[in-house]
Parts: sequence; C-alpha cells; structure tokens
Amino acid sequence: MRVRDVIMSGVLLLFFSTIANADRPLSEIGHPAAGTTFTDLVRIATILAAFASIVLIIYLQFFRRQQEIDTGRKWLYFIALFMLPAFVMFGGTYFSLEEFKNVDSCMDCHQMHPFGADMMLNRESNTLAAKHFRNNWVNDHQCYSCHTGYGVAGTIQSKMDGLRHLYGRVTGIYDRPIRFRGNFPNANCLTCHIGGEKYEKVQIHRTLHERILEDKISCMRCHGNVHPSMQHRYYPVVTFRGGE
Amino acid sequence: MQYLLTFAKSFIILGLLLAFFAVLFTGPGSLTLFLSFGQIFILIGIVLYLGVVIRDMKDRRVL
Repeated sequence: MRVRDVIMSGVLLLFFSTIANADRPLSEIGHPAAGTTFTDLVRIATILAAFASIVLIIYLQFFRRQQEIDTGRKWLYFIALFMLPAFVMFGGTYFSLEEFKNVDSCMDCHQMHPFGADMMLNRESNTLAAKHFRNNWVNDHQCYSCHTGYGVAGTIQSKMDGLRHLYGRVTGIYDRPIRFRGNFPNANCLTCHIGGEKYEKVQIHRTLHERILEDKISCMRCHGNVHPSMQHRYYPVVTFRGGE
Repeated sequence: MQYLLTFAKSFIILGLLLAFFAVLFTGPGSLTLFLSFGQIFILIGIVLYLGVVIRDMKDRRVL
C-alpha cells in the first residue's frame, strides 16, 4: 500500500465520520426545541474549516511538494496554515462559550446532579429553581440565566468561575461539602421580575424597593428555598437530555 | 527554515484534529479539555508559520 492510499483512507475516514455524525440533531446540543441556531452553524463551519485545513495541508505536503513554488501555492499555505486554523480557534471558542450556557454543561459534573434532579425530575419539589424549571419561567439556559451576572462583566466573571470549577473537577482539589462562595445579586432576579404585575403588587417589594435595588437586602431572605438542602439532595444516575 | 514550516504544519494538524473531534463528538467537559489543547497547538503552529513568513519576506525568498 502506498503512502498516498493511506492518506486518502485517513481523509475519507474523517469525512465519513462527519457524515455519520450528521444524524445527531444539531439542535440537540443546547436548544431542544429551537431548531438550528447560529451556534449550530458556527459548529458546522468550525468542523468543516478544520477538515478543509487538514485536507489542504496534506495535499500541499504530499501532492504538490515537488512542484514549482509559486504565488498560488503561497496563498494556499496562507489559507491552510493561518486563515482556516484561526477560524477554527475563534469558532471553537465561540461554540464552547455558548455550549457552556446549557444545563447539560453544568450537569456534566456529578456534584451538580442533585440540583438538576431536583429541578428536572422531582415533580413534587417546592424549591425556587424547580418551580422555575417546571413552569418554564426561564425558557433556556436555566442555570446560566440565574447564576450569571448580566453584561460583559457577568460573562467574564462566570467564565472565571467556570475555569475554577473545571480546575477543581480535574484536580479533585476543593473543599467539601461544596458551598456557594459568591453572592447572589438581586439584579439576577430583578431582570425578569421587576416591573411585572405580580412583583409590583406585593407591598413589601414597594416598601423595600431602594434596599432591594442596592442589594442591601437579598431576595433570598424571603424566597430562600432555592435548591434542595443537604438532607434533601439525592444523587441519581441521569442523562438530562433523556430523563432518568 | 524548512524544518520550522514542518513543525508548524505538525502542530496545526495536531491542533486541528483535537479541535475537530472536540467540536464534533465530545460533551461539555471534554470539549474544554480537548479544545483548549487543540487551540494551544494551533496557536503555536500559527506563530511558527508567521515566523517563517516574516523571515521569508526579510530574506526575499519564497517558502
């Protein structure tokens, strides 16, 4: 078998693995009912760019090696070694940032399973998170929507926290039991609730309006049963895409 | 200079393969790990390639 045959076999294998994965609905990644999203398109483009770049490099290395070096070949090098890989880097980063907003991403760590189970599987649960999930009060990115501050600073902070969590997960170095280290700004609740009829008609909200806005009193003080307490957590083996 | 270009190609291919499989197959946790390594390799490869291009331009030689 010649080198060329081996290379072509590898290229075909890569190509068919892409095709074989095509029956996995792209929308499954994070938006079960939303159809194909921009993130899905970025994912496809990233996969194709990586594939094209690999093929192009192999082609330049093995099939045009002996030929005269010309401007066209230099451009091919530029596309294969700079433009496409740079696109893969940015596309991959964008895709991973979006992917981490999904509930599945949070549930990827075993430590989070009790919270996911309480939200998604326990229909009797009376916790705030479960009620929000069950009633579809937050349509998408349920964990991210409440646990991330809004704006650019919030996104950066959540990314930093995520990296800290990942470091703890990979190394196994973290304090047990896990405790929430940050604070929970009222803005995370108020973004949806303030101005709503149900919120405004509660007298105590109006009385404490300034203090609530300034985070001097936490929403959790009255609405505190957010997630199950230590005694009420259980650790099911679940796949959150398909239930228990 | 030729060996630098070969290094660049090797790093980029390795990085692209990691990124390719990370984005195509893996779940969120593994995605970070594979993609991060892939991106590091791609970045090293791109820097090497640009180094070759700059040197080539300085020397007025083709790749």
